[in-house]
Amino acid sequence: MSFVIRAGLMLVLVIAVGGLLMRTMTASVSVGLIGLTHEDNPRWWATRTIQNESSAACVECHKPTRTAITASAHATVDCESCHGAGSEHIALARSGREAPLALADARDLCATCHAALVARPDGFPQVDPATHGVPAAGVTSSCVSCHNAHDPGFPPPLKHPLDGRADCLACHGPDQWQPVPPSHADRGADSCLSCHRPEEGT
Amino acid sequence: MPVSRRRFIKLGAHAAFGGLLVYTLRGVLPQPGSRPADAQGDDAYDQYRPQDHDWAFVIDTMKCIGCGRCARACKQENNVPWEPDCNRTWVERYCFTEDGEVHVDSPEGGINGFADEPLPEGVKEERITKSFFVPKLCNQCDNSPCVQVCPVAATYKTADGVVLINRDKCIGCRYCIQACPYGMRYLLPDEGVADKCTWCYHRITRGRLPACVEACPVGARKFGDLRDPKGEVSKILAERNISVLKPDMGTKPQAYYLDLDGAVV
Repeated sequence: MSFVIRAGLMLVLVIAVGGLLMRTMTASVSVGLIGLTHEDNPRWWATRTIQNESSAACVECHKPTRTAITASAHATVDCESCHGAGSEHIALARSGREAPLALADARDLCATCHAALVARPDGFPQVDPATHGVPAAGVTSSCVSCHNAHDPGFPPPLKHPLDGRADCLACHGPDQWQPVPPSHADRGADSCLSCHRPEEGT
Repeated sequence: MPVSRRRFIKLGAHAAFGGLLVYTLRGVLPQPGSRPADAQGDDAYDQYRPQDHDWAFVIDTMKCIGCGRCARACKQENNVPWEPDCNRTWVERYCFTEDGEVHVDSPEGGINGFADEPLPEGVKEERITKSFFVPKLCNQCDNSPCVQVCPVAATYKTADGVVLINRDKCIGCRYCIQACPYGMRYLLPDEGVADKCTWCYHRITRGRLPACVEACPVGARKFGDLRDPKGEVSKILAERNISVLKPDMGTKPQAYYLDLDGAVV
């Protein structure tokens, strides 16, 4: 073989090998292949501390509440969606210490999801917080005065069994959030439900 | 024996070539006992085989109610600074008006929801023709511009399809922040390194869902493994009308949007 051919072949080989090496070394996707990087970095990411423990941990102590909510219209709502990340709370509770889990004023919190917004999907239950359940002057009320966040149902059932005028007047008495009309003042003791059907909104 | 100059150069060339070859093969060949010691005593990752998973995300904009609990849970879960510019995930509000304009806003990334937020400037409710929320998060692109541009190879794609950032290598040059067509990356103000959504890598490698998926009260965010053909996400990708953001960028996003309006970018 003449020197020129040998030199030419060598040149081609060097270019091919060099090009291949350069390609492997410079393309970030293959840096792992040449051992340049990141052997322990996925492990570093994978071992970060979990902050949102999920409802599976909550049921250790709050089983009845979780059972109620999973049967209600809030079934898809995780505890921490409303209550916030619970790892600190759970760690405190497991060590037997007091574990407060602050919840913002319920009216604001409920409005986060249930305030009527033009961008919200049509079928989603929404109310205008400015007019819905606004108490009479001088009475404080939040959504949970009437609704049970852990068992909201659809339409939302009230918190009490509605088995008599006294129950109705707890919310519809004078000075309550939605007082009965003055014309109703002298109606009989058991009579609300003989005309009104709360579940139908009449 | 004196070494001739010719022989010396020849030997040197051989040694250099051999060294490069060994260096190249080092990562390819199995290396027993090379696993780094686990400082955290967390053996979940030892059992986790990234090559057995192919994670994918599905977002249903027709379900999103804009409560922002996802963005809030993410901040708590991943210790993301509460500054408005630091968001791994956020919710955008799209408002289309009669004049054909599209208005998009995302106050503080939506972490406080939209209940108390006025409509975008100049938008009147009665002029809105359609409106919806769009949650955004890292697309973990298969063809990631952020990975390609990093000058120090600090960011990489794992075998399970998640793009991660090695904070020890990142030099904070912000090139990746510029490169991402989706604006997913930001600079951590204290550490001076780039950060972005990891689909909660510390949760998914332990068999949990990302925090935003768990926090979503209406199921607008779904997460699953495409290696499981019967999984919800695999079924959605197979059977439903899905799209990705900015498909013409060629980034091959792994976050898919269900019934997405064509105007969303």
